Amino acid sequence: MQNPQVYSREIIASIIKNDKDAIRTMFEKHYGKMASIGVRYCKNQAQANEAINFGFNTYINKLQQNRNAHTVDIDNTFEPDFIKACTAFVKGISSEYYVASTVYASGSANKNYDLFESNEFIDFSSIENDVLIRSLQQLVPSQRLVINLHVIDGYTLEETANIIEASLQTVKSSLEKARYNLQKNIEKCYKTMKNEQSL
Amino acid sequence: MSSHFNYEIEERNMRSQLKELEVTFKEEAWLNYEVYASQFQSVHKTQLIPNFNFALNRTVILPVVFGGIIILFSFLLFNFINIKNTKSTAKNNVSEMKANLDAVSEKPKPEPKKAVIAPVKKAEPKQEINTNTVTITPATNMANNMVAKTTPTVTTTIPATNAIVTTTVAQDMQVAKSTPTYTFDPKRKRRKKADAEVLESIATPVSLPTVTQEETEPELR
Repeated sequence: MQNPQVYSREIIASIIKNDKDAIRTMFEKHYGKMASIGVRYCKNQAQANEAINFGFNTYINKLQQNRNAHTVDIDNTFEPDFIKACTAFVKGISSEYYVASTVYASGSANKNYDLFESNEFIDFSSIENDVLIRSLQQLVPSQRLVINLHVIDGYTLEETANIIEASLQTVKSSLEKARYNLQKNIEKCYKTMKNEQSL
Repeated sequence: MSSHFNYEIEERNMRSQLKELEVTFKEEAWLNYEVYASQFQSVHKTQLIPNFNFALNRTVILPVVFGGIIILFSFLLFNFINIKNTKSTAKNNVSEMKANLDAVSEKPKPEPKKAVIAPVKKAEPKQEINTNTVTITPATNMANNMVAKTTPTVTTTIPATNAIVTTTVAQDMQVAKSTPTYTFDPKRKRRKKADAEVLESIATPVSLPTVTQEETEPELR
């Protein structure tokens, strides 16, 4: 539980004045949440760290420029603002976002026709966090954003379309592809993890 | 995407699973952020002048801009086109012209110029007496003739075809009789030629330079 007394007027005032101690307190408090969001939205840990820095810095700047910053409810506004900043960060890497987003989802070209292949049942209801995050990270950026925003963070399709600045139809089609690819990725990751464990 | 695809992921579970996920704080992360913040820190200054935010809608701005353009264009056209009443101005102009003409006619006619002086200046030392001038000139008075004789240059220079000029010359001769010293216009007074300056002759060198000796060229400025 977050302590509501953490963000007193004095602390907010010192954050506005760019006081390092106050900013560090805020960073420490929100780091856990920021890191979990960043890992989901980015393709790897390094990009996630950059996204954390970008998102937190964006929020601090926004707070400093807000005339009514003293009345801002940081606990409730931080997470949605950070998610939006993360989305902007992922979209900002246009070399990845716009190029990779045009790649259509398709089944693997190297199909395995081995009849004796172990067709192991995967329980999707209890998937490990690592497998889930890795399979999410393997998605194309646009699909990753859509599934994160709509499925995990609970935004509606319209809100998602507004955040990623795309049409509703694009969001819908991206979501369909993302679901398909996520399941395939989970299956793949699950198998590789099993193989690694057996080795 | 195949039509036989069954979506088996339970999104609700996945959501709760990922939402609950939290990472422990690392000191390295804060140091990383400090470095980042020092690079991209925005300079936040307190504004002395308050910010005035006017909510101007596009529907307001566009008509104002277009209206301004139209007004400017019409002003430009107005500057080029003269919309004043042309008839009244024409009448005024005509009346002014008439007044000017009357004023000009009332003025005394200027005295004839002393055109005689010019031929006198151009006098050439011709000794021939033009017979035409003698026949045309109404001056029968002997005294006038005497004056003409004393001033032969005047009679000789007058061209034969210009009878009026000769008459004026004769009249002037009468005037000249009363004033024996004929004076020219001071502007047209001939200047006396200045005595030519006598330059000292430089003695030529006895020994002329040889052909092989090169002469130094003067420097051009």
